[in-house]
Amino acid sequence: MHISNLSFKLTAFLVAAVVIALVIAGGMYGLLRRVETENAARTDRVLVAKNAAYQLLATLVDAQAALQDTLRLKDPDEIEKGIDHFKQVLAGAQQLVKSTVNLPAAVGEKLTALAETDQQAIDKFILGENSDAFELVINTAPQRFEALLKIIREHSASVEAAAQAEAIAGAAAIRRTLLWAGVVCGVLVVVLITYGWRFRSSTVQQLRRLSISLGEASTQVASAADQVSSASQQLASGASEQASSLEETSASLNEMASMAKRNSEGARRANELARIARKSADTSVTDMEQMRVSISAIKDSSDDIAKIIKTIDEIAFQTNILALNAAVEAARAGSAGMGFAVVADEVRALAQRSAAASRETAGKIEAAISKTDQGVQISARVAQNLGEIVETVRKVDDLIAEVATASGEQDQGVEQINAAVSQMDKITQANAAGAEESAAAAEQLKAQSMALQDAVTELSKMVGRETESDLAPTDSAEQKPSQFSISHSQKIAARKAKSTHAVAVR
Amino acid sequence: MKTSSKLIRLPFLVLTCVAAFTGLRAADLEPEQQAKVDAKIAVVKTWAADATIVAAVAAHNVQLPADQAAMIQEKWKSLTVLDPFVRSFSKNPAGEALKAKKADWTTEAFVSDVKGLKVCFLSKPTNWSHAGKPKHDVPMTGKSWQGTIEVDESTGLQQIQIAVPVLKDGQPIGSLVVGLSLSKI
Repeated sequence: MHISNLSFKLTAFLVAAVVIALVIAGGMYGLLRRVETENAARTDRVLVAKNAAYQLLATLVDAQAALQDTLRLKDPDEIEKGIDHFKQVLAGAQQLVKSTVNLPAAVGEKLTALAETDQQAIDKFILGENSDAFELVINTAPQRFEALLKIIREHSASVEAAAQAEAIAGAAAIRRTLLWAGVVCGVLVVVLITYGWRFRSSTVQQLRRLSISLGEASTQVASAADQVSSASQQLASGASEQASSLEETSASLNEMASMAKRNSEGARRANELARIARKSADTSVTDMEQMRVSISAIKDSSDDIAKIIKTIDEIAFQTNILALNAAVEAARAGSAGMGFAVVADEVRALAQRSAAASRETAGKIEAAISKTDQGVQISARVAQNLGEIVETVRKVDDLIAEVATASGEQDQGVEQINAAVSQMDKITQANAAGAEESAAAAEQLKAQSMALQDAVTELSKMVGRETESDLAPTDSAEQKPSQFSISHSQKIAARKAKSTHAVAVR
Repeated sequence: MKTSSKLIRLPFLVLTCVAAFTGLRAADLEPEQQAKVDAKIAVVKTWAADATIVAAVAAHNVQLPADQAAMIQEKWKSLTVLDPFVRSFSKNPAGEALKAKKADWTTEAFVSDVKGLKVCFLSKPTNWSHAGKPKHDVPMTGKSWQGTIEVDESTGLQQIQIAVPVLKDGQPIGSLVVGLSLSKI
């Protein structure tokens, strides 16, 4: 029998009991309501009839009293008012007779007879025949009043008797209904008791089997809780060791990060210096080019000066020739040309000196040109060397920049590694805490399993399981760990060994 | 229901018994009661001296109203208390004056002229004319008259009639008869 089946049966039993109770209660309520309604209707009929009779009697008494009061009056105005009042009251009585349902016709007839007598008395009275009027009121009117009252009384009694007969018939009907209801209720109760007994037996057997199963399960749960507790404690210990190692790793990584940061800083500074050196080299190349251009310009100027010197030398040569010609001519002139011969000598001396000076200047200029050529060549070589230096410095600068970039990335990588290790450290700490909590939970699970065993024992007593030998599967479960617990222990041992190996390697 | 009819009959039975009992002592009047009756006679004399009543009686004596000239006892007896002619005696000035003077001890009152014919009254008297009866003839001599104790059929109470003259210039011109309730004087 499944639990759902048991629940369904229990629910069906309760629903059936509630439905039967509701049906009985509804039936009884309906019966009571019907009885109440019938009683109320019967009471209303009796009350209406009684009330009508009472009102009619009261009105009739009022009419007779009004008549007698009128007959005692002497003042014509008061007599007239009294007669009017009597007629109004009498008309009210006649109206009541007409409006009252199921009133015997004899009531109206008797009332008419009484009214006639009263009217006769009034007629006598207003004629001053008071004795005759009183005679009518004393003798005739009471007889007719009595006859009218008798009819009304009989009618009231008949209504009451009819209502009483209805009440008796209603009571008999209620007794019959109650008898039938009692028989039906008895049958339903017997059916419910039979079904409930069978349901109780099957439920007890089912609960016995369930208690045995629960006992076995609770024992296995207790054993598993022990193993889980032990494994959780080992896990907590391993996690603590792992956390310690990670702390050391974190410290080392902090040092590496510091060094990488310093390297990065040095690379950055070298890169700066290389950049400055490359800038200086670039400036030197430019200056060297300008110097080469200047030297070329000096060479060109020296060439121009050499040409001028050559021209001066040619002029000195021609001047010397001219001075010679002048000296020849002065010699030819004799004394007259003596002065002129002196001047010619001087001019010749000047021309010679100019020639000597121009030759000396030309020599110096040639030497300067030669030196300038050498300077041009040297400056060209220097410019070439400087270009090579600039190129080399540029490559060095690029390399240093790459080194700086790599150092920065290395610094970031180390920082990320450090953060990751810190996170690993936190996770490890959390794992250790979780493992400790798991151990505590396992202890609680063990306590709950013990409580479950107590509950199973109580359930066993409740369902009437008599001996503890029924718990035999529980003992075997304690002696023989489940497959799950064995595999779990092996996994924990393997993890512990791995952790130890990792520590040793580190 | 029988009880109700007996209750209705009871007052009339009591009336009859009281009437029989008091009839034996109608001629007797205790001195104390007589003194009270005398006091009321003095009061009634003041009523008779009312100017309206005196004027009405005097006028009645001079000329009888036309509708009263043919009135005879048989016709008077056939008229009901609610007849307009009868009620006119209660609604004329003298009747109004008489009604204004009515007290709780007054059971009846009527004024007759010199011939005993009715001038005004509180309620219809049995006779149209009281001529020849002591309650009119004695006052017409200038004296007061006092009847015997009798029982009022309507109320069942003891009463006694008194009569005083209606005087004009010291001469009787009519009579005023008043019924006194002995239990209330």
